[in-house]
Amino acid sequence: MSETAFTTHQTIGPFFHDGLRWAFVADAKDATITLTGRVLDGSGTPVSDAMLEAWRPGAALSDVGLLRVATDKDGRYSMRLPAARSGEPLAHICVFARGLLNHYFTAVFDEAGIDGDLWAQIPEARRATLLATPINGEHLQWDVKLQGDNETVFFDYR
Amino acid sequence: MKFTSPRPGQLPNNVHPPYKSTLARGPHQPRVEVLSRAAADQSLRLTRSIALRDADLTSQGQSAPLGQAITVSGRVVDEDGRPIRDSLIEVWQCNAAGRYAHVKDDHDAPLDADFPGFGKMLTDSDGRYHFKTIKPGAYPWGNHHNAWRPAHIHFSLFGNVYAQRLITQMYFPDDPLFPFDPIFNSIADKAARARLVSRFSLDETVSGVSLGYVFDIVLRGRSATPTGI
Ligand SMILES: [Fe+2]
Repeated sequence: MSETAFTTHQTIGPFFHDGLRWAFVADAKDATITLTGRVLDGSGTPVSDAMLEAWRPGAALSDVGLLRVATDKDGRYSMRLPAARSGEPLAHICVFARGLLNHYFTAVFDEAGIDGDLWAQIPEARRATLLATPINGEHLQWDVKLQGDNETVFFDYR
Repeated sequence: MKFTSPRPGQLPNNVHPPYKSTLARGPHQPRVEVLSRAAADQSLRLTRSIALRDADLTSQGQSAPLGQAITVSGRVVDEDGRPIRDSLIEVWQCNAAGRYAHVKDDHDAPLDADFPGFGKMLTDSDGRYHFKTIKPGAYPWGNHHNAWRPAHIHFSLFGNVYAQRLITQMYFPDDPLFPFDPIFNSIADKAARARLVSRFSLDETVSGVSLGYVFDIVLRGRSATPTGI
């Protein structure tokens, strides 16, 4: 096999919405959990032009397979997800925004997921950044902090 | 499938000070290396249930958009050179005057009602894709005095496994703005930068109709070494 280097990343920029909107779907099939939160930069300022994609292996979350949501002017997003399987994240998440030269893989967990393989590989001191907080009943909150104190853990897959 | 470490300089830095928006947004912590079955899972296939008839960005209005008609084509493969088949590509771009049909683009250049500027398509069984569009213009942005982005088309790819997700930009050959663009130059490795530049192809040029540009894409991932070798 020939050795080829992979094509590198560039920012999604601020103008992706109309091109990617066809797949903006915030509601998964069989959703029971509402996940809301904000994307925040290093100064705590809401990121109003970010996009999140949520995905679960084997579970087509929508007709297009994943959920894709843009943040609003206050940096807020909202999505509806099925309950997590034991030991699995609620969803695998990919974060995109103007000012992010790369896209960033992460995952969001609730209590059901925290005894699994992926959770175990996260440095203990930073695990809390991937854990959604119950607000009431089936409503969970999870913020993505791009930089600084309590910076969200982002993955490099091996 | 395994995902090898990027070479030094192959990925943009998270924080690249000449690109000002990275200062508060780029993560400071290095990525955490994880082994995850999800990374190589093939169930994310955005292909089956959607209409994919947006591979001609010049036919989305009442008449042809203004600008130089071009085609962009290429082949999507993994790091072993194997084709990425049946995989979704999304593209978006500004018009020939350098203006996005986007509510937040306030660049004082004309909109073109015949050019929304986005499309989507699937790679074929050999990993090939092809779309028709117009050449995007350069546009100014507020990053620094006299900042202009080199002409580019935004690309989004899913590949065949989750970890192959890619967002990037395709540039045009010999753009005089390259030395001045902090987004392009956020990639330290010169060869990695050069791979984002398409090449002109007379073979892909359609006589009397459109200029041809070729942009080949390599997604992450090598075949896993069999155990015991
Ligand atoms: Fe752009």
